[in-house]
Amino acid sequence: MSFNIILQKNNSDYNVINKEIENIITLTGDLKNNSSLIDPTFIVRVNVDMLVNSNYLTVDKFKRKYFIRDIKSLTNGTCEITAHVDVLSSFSNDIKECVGIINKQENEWNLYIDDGSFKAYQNSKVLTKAFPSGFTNYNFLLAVAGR
Amino acid sequence: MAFKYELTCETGEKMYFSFPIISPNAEGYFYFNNSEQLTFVDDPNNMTLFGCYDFGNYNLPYTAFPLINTGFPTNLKLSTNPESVISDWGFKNDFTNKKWYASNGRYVVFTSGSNYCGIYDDKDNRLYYKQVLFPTSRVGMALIYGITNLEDIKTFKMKKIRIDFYRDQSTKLYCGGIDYISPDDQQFFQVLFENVEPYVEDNDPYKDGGTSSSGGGNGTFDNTSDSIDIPQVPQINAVNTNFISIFCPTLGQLQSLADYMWSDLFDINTWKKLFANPMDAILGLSIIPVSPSTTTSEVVVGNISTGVQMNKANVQYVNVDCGTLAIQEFWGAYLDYDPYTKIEIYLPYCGTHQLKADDVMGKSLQAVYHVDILSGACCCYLKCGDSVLYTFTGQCSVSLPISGNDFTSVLNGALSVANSVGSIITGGNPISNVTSAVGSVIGMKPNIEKTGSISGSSGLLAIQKPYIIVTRPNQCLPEKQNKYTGYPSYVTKKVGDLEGYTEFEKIRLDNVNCTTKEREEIKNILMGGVIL
Repeated sequence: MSFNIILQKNNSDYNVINKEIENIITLTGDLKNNSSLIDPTFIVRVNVDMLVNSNYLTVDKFKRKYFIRDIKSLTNGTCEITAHVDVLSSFSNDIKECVGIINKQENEWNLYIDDGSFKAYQNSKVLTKAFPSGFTNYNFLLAVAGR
Repeated sequence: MAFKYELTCETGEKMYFSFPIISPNAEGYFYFNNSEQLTFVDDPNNMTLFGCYDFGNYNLPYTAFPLINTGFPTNLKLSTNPESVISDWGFKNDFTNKKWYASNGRYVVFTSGSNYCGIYDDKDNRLYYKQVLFPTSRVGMALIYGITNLEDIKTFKMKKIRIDFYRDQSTKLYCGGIDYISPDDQQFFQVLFENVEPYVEDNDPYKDGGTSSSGGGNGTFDNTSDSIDIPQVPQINAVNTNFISIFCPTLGQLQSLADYMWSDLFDINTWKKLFANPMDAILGLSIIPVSPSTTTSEVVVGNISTGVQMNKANVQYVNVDCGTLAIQEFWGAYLDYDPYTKIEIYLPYCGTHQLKADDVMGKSLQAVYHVDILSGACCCYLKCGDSVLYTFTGQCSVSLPISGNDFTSVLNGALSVANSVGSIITGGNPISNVTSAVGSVIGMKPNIEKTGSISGSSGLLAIQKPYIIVTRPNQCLPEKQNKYTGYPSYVTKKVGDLEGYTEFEKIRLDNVNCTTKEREEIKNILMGGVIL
């Protein structure tokens, strides 16, 4: 069962949902026996030097995108590519429709919540603020019996 | 129309289920399509009767009998119309759907003639079967307890239970109630009870004490607050009594009085009629830090006019407003509040006191003294926002000795003040890391009492204006921390509405068409931190 494999270069971290991807080459490949959909091993007929810049691939037939874990050169100009599914990018449209409770966020925050992550130096800041006025007039006070 | 049947729990609780009967067929048999039409209902009332329809002779009237009778019913109740059998039996129609846990109940079978009922696990292994005899030659449908022994139930600790019903092969009679079966059909049919909770024997020694229940949520959510204002000074005072006069003399006026008292003009004979000691009429001489309103008046000591004019106080209580100080947030964050930010206030004559940052942060702080010029007692009100939250008291007059006894008391007072010096209340660890979680930094800091007793003469020597001391954390913030770790959010949002680094507390992955393993990985990434 041959299918198209788009070899790509991923410039983003694994946890980025909208990855920056560059297409390199589209090949025809096969799934190695006993491979899983999540951790597949593809066999492609290509020289390994054409794959050195690839770290990502897309298989439209599987409706999935994959991180390339390893590339092995086999005999007769074939290579074996082991991969792991990129779940975020593969199902990004579905994930974006999901609703959840956010623990931390880059832009939507409430700083009155104490999550214990703030660090402080040992030397605390100490400052003083004076009230506008105080006791300024002093008087003798004489109390005597009688009016 | 539906037949409704009862399940009785071992606890005595009764539950009910029904299955709809679409219509009788040409032969008069009732049937329904599949087990999914079974509806479990809970009706606390009037569900002790069960239908019994004679399929072998469907012209007979519909009958009902109590479930608890495992033998043939003796107290039949008749219904002649299948369409109205439910109402005829007095069943209530407003049943509420309820999940039925077979593990809590005795399994019920429908049977007729000689039958077998079996219970199977989710791999179709028959775990139990039992022959059930219906003691009548007529083919009928009855509802009886198929399995009544608690030990039987304990055997079936699986998630799925199937109960089969067999027709009596020897008599070729029908068993009914669940489905229509022709004589040539496969001779059993089944009802599946999905997601049956495994039976767990309740051996909790606390169970007799009752179980917890839901509750709460009935609060008023009333956040309104009454304003507690600074009180007015008392209108009643000693100066109006004519027994006592309070003067606020200038130095010259005091000297004039002293000159008079120690001169020959002082009428000692008249004095002796009233007092044993001339100084008995001088109730006190002190220095006070306030200026009461005065009018000029002659000093009359006892009943003796001295001819000396002095400023006579019109009031005993004086109000001193030290003004308002706005306590503003530094970060606009939880760090501005307890226990991270500490706020102390120095109040002349009252000393230094700790304030709760939660009480004063973001509010205007007003300090007002009420001073009793006669005794020197003072009361300082701290109004935080709209209400007085703190009240401190002190002593603000300095007694001047005008006799030997007076001087001794002044000395004793000064010594007692000197002995009460500031001290370290709690010790901290002087060696620590450069940075620590903010809570641990503040928690390690020692609390130092910043003043001793500030009253009387020492108070007069101290700072005369109130001030606050704010101790706040010294922030150690990596650049662009929010891009790498985010800041606490705790709101509910759609993933697509967010941008940037996000960690989810909980998320529901509805309608994501992926495998279970992939779903688990998505959850882990979203909860561990994703960049949207």
